[in-house]
Amino acid sequence: MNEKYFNVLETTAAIYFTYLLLPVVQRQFPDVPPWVADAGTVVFVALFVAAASLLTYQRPTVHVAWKQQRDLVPAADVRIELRAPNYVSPPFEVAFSGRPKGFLTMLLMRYLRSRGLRLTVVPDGAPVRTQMVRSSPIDANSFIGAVDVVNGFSVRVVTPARDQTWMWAKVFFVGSTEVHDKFALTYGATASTKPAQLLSKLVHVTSPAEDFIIN
Amino acid sequence: MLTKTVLQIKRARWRRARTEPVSLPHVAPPAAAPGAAELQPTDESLVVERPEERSPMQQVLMYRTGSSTPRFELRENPSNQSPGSFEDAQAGARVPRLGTQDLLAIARYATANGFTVNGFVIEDQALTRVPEELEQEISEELIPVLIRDGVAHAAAIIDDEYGYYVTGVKLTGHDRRPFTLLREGVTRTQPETHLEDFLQAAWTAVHFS
Repeated sequence: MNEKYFNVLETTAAIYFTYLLLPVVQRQFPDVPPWVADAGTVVFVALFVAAASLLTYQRPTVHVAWKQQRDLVPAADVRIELRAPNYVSPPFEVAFSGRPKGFLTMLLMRYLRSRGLRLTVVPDGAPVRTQMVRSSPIDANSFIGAVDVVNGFSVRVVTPARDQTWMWAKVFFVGSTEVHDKFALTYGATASTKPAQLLSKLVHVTSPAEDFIIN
Repeated sequence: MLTKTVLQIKRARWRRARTEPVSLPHVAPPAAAPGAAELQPTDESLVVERPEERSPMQQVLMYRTGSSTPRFELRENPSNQSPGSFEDAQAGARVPRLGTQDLLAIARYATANGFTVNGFVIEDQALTRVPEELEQEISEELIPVLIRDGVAHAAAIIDDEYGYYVTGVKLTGHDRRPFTLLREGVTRTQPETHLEDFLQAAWTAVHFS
């Protein structure tokens, strides 16, 4: 549904809850000046509605798609073979997309971007190290991608979300021995300051490829 | 144009040679627990066997806390151990994960700071080094592009046009001593080169992984 309707719903809910709560607050705190009680109630309700909507329909969501060269559709899992002597996987193209949502989402994402928001992808516990070939350029000489999380990688979010491929990275995996097992691919978000790091947990990073399989 | 056509022919020949069946028996190494993986010797692609690169190997380690500038340290690696075996999460030591874009960015930083880029180490998607002549020719094509148009353009050429990876950069420092820096921080250098200082300065400029 169009986010504008949700924004109208949000505002209506905020006005309604304020209308309900104001007499209660004034009754409970008779000594507090009325303007303080009014302002306090409005701020409390606004924060409550903002938190509720950011945790539900306004939650920023980033979609991650994995493809190998010449694949037309994204992979349902990341499947590699590590064979002697080099134990190296073929390269994968990882595309990130996200739909711009309502005002609160954009505000949150703007704040997080200013605090170095990074989306992380980790083949959890897999005995491989990620190698990054290329990633979306920021300018002629710098890139969004870095191999800086455990054995996975991250991309720095520097632009607002886009429906189509918004950011991309080309990676491959290197192991040291032949292993055959299934591991989980975990996706997340992090930022450079503590409050931003906390708020970055609101960013939902999702992908159909949740398994990392070494055949 | 002619150079590009010659390169394409050489590349096609090289690929054909790589896909022809090899009659060597395949002996799979015994399966090991994931933890044991780090004790295995490094993959063959990191054993660079070119005449100019037969000095002992070393491993670059990167120590970083929070968002501060990392400290770099060089460890001797005469037995050619896997880079991963040098990592120590508790001590905050990890090997730099230098990929194509990082190595090109380091090379560009080096040229802007008085170093000479002698060439790149170029490997195919199986991490097998391409023939020396082809490597030299691709390097000669990449270096001016890197200086003139930047890292993104050079990375696009090596990836889109050739389908290869840059897995190392061969540099000569101010002191005229050549050294090679490979992916995952494997290197061959003399102590007098002070590679740690170079990497620290390069990191501040290009923030490689």
